[in-house]
Amino acid sequence: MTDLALILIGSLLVNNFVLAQFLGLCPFMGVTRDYDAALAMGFATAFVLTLSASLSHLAYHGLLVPLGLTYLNIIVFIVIIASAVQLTELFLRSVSPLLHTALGIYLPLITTNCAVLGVALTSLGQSLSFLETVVFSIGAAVGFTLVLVLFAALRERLEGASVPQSFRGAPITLVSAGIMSLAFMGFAGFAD
Amino acid sequence: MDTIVTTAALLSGLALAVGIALFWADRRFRPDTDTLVDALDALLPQTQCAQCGYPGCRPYAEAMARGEAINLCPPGGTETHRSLGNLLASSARGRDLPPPTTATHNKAVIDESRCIGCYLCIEACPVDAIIGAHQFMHTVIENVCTGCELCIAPCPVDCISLVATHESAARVQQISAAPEQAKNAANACIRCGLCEQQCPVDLLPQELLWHVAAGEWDIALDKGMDTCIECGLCNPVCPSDIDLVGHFRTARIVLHEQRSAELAASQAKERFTSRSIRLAQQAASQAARREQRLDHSGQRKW
Repeated sequence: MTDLALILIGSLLVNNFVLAQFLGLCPFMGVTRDYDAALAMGFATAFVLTLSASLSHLAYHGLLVPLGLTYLNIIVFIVIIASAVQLTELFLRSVSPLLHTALGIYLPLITTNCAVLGVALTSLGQSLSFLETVVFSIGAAVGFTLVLVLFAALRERLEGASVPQSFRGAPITLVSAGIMSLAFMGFAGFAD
Repeated sequence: MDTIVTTAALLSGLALAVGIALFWADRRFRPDTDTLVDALDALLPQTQCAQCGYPGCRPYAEAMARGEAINLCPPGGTETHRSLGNLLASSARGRDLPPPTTATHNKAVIDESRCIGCYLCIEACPVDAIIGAHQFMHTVIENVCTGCELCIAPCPVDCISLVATHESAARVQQISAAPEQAKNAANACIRCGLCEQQCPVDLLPQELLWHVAAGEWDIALDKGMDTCIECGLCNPVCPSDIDLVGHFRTARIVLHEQRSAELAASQAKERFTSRSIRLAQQAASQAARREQRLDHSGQRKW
């Protein structure tokens, strides 16, 4: 039980995929302009991430290892991730069309979000059991959403701030992302 | 050789499974377009002017949900164009066409001394804003008119003209300048809190100003902007010389203006819908009567 909690905290905060491992920076910069969109994107990615990491774990240990085809892992994982994204998109289109249009191109781009593949591959590298993989990916997913939402709130505040002309737009965004990453460095050694 | 066969079998099996799952999901989750159409319709100005090429605002919203360009609404102007773009996240749609010009607030006025009572403008009005009868003088109900210009072309004696209510022109200017001014004022605020100590109705003027500057009207109202009595005690103590009361007054005017615009839009929408229903019923009953007459007189040739 303590192990699971440690894995959760570890992937959520200490080794946060965005701010400590620098994966998934595209949506981190792209959809954090607006708080609601960031929240929605966070949930969509979290869902895809958890689903695909768990399915990948099953596919790896259930299919690839017995058949001796472990070198195919990236291809198989990509197929699983892409179909999970498609599933999410179809579901979202019928349940919340406004959200679907608001997320626009970023939704199919979850496929190419390296954090999603990163979680699947990292959990393999740590040779976790199925339950541990699920907990690990939930931690990573919640961590991703958390960072996205925090950063979106930060950027909405930045909109109203008087930023020097040369720092407006992308520069101030990157600077604040860096400072936020520094803050997350404070968690290092927390769960070891 | 074995490896190649198992690899191919594994990958094609996986692809097949995924394909079947997605096919099922596509059948199971049909897209819900109604919500999107409603949201698009809510952003349109509801003038029902048909300048977009569709008979009214709702039909245009339906067309946009199917992928029509979003810059076809001249009464909505740049503002509507932008909010539609935000909703659809598609500045790409219709990018090659320029956005429509900013809206002007006009009302149609009939020069009653010249009106011949021909009824043509009444038939053209999409929101039933013109009243009158055959051979009698017509007039425009000012509150209901959306300024859509559809009545001007049919008039055979050119007695209808569009008049910009000058009150609305001044207000438009005030509205467009208000957030920017408040933003500058909020930047000048040094957060000293002196204004809070002055307020006789226990408001937090500095906080209200930040919300107004950020365009967060709802929060400003929640925090009691409506209860400001405009006593002016907070202005003289401000070390940055911010006209706090002035900004709250402008913000309340803007809010009032927005609300009445929303009300007018919903009214126009309602009137357009009921008119469409009435016209459809009329057409149906006319067709039925015609049918009856033809049957009766035995003149049906086909």
